[in-house]
Amino acid sequence: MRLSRYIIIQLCVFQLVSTSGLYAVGPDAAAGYNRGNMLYRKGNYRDAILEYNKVLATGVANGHLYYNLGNAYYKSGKLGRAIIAYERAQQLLPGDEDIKANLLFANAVKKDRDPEGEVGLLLRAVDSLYGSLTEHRLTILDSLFLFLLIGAGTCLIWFDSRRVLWICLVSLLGLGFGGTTLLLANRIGARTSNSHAVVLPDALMGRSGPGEDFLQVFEIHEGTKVSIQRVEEGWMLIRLSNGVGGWVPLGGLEAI
Amino acid sequence: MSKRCFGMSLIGRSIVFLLTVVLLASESVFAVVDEFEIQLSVDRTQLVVGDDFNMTVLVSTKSGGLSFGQTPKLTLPEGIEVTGSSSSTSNAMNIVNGSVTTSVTTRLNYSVRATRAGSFVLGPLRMDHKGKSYESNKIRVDVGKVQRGSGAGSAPDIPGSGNPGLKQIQEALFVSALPDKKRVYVGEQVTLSYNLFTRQNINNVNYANIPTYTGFWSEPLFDTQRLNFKREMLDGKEYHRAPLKVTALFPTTSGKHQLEQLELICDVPDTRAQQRRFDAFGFEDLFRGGAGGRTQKVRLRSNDVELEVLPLPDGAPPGFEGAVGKYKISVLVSPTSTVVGEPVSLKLVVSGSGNLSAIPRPKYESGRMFKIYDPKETVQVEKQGTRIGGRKTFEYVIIPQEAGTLEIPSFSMPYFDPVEKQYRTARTDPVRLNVGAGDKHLPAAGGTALTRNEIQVLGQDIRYLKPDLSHLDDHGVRLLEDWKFLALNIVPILGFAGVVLYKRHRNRMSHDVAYARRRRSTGEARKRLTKANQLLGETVGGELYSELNDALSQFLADRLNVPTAAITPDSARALLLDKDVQKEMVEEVRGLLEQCDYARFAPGSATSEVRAKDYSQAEKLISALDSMI
Repeated sequence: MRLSRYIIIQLCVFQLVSTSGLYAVGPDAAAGYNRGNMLYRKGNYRDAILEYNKVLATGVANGHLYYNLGNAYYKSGKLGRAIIAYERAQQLLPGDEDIKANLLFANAVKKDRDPEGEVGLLLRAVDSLYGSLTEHRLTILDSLFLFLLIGAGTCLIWFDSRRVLWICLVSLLGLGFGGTTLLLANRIGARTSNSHAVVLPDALMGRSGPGEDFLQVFEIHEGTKVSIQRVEEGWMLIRLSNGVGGWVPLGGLEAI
Repeated sequence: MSKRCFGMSLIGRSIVFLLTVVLLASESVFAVVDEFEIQLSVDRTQLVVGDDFNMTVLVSTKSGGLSFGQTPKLTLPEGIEVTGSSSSTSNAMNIVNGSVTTSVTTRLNYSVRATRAGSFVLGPLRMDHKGKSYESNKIRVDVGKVQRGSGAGSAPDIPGSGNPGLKQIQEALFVSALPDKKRVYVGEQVTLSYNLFTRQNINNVNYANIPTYTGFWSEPLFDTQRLNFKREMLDGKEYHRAPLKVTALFPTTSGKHQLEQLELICDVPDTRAQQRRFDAFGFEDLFRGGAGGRTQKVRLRSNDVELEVLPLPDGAPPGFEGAVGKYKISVLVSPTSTVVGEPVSLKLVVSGSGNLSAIPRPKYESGRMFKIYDPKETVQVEKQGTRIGGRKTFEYVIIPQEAGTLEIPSFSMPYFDPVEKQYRTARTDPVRLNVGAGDKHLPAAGGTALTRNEIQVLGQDIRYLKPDLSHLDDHGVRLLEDWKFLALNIVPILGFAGVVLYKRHRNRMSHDVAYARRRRSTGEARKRLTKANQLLGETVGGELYSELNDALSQFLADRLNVPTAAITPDSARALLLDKDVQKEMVEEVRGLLEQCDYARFAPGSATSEVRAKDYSQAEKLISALDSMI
């Protein structure tokens, strides 16, 4: 009796802490966001962008805010910045259909076409699932697995009967906990390495080395997403999605 | 050109010339008549653009043949072109009352085509002969614009017509067009059969013009793929007849209709070769140049057919829309049980003989109980001998609007029966339909639910803004950097450790007697001391000392894991000394145990002060020993 009460209390506290309402930002940010929306509706995209950026400057990271900012950039003809905003919005709200649709649309209208690889159905499903697991969600999932694992472990120790059941449960939950921990570590690793960027100018020349004297190897255009390899003397080594690498000046790209 | 034409019968001509020369060598024998004539003729003078016709030039002389290569100079107006030519020469010898006259006729046949509309004058053709100049006659031909179906004769067009073979060919080769009746009602079927009759060999038969039957709806009944000749007697002569086509015609307007002619082109053996057989004294084999022979292209036209189309008689029933024939209507509804708003399929089949393509939709009485949508129509034409018939299916979708046993209205179709010359009406029986109430929403008026179109994408844009919010959530929060969240995760770990330790304690308590006695000893001693404390106020101290003795002996027995009975003042002293307890304290324990023994059995020996002092000492000793043993 005492034990079950202990487990229930644990879960309640977990739920309370996990709700995002605990992390709501003050009403000023919402007011700025709503002002931006109003300006957008009037067709004043420039001021809408300024308003959204003011809210972002307060340190808030909100998927809807980035999405609306992306829309305002797109309507102002800044495709590259729109794609960056949509990418950031997607990182925060990976399951959002609107963000997905607009990112797809913006990528479809940009000048460079992404190479289309043959992706199997299973791989696509796994990719989609992984994409929807944000760091936040993975953290909560990992914590949930930990709680359940401890609960099952407690039962295993406490009850002398049904030991096989408890052992199986502990094993499964242990695997779940281990898996989510690995995924979480991967996510955090990807975030901290911050390895993607988007081209901002109309066209950007990729060279074989960090300098204007090097051979031109490719030309990429606004909105193209590249992978950042390293930075050296004001130049950045990037890799395109088709595997081709080259050096571009630092100012031409913005990290997502 | 003339050289080429004459060259065709060079050997034959040379022999004829030679013979002529021999015959004319003796002027004493033959009276010589020096006459020269050029005659121009055409087979027709009324033409349309593109028509081929035949032009013949006959050069007759009685004074001797033409010299080699000598032909009239051919000049034709613009718009008339020569497409081919041939020539022949014939000699004739007449003996009348002993006087012999000879004539030589050279025939030049030209295939000519009119390429432009207008009126043209052919000729005169000029030719010099023996120092004199001769002229032919002139012929006027009118070339009209193409007007298909304008009555041309049924005679074959043969290059070189006007020659004696024409009549033979006309008799031996023709196309007949035969309707099964000549007076029909509008919409009634006429069956028109085309047959090719021939008495001679023909090759390369092809259609040159297939009628389009303006003013008629036509359905082919038979179309030959290869000529299949059968012997047939016609006017006492034996012919070979090959059926060409059988067509069902349904007139669409009343009045007299002249049908267009069917035209064929075929090759026939050159009949003039046969003519020559008699004229050229049996040299035809040489002239014809072998068994292959020469052939002529002949264009055959079917005979004129005129049909009288009668208008339908008066007295048509209401709703009559021109259906002519003999028809039946049947109806099939599935399912016969449904619910309000659920569509039902109604299949209406009109079957019979007649022009099914012209069958209108059968009429029905519309009511509020049903919504009936325009039907899908399919026609299945069947050939019943030389009659056209079949079935026309109308598939309606009906949506009941009310619940209950509903009667689908009967469909009717008035038609004119040309055999009985009467109007009749085909009608279906009413069909009952059980309609349940159902809970489906009825489609909007106009039936858009059933006539759906593919949605057309007109343009693409980004999706619109996310709506306004009363507060902004920070989606970028990282829980792992939040101490509250981390603390929360440590709680269950600590709890788990506690559970493990508690479980271990419980296990020892149940299995390790020494541990259990030791863990319980302090509590038990305190219980007894509490009881003893309650007995302090009593005048008799027996029970107090009994409790104090039990508390101390039990505590010592539990801690030293020995039976309680084994604890005596002396044994306790020895055991405690073994546990390295201070000697003074050991002596105090022994003294107190002895005092308890004494006071238990001599009640009233101890004053209340002594009792309180002994109680305090017991409490102090137990407390001190708790941390020592």
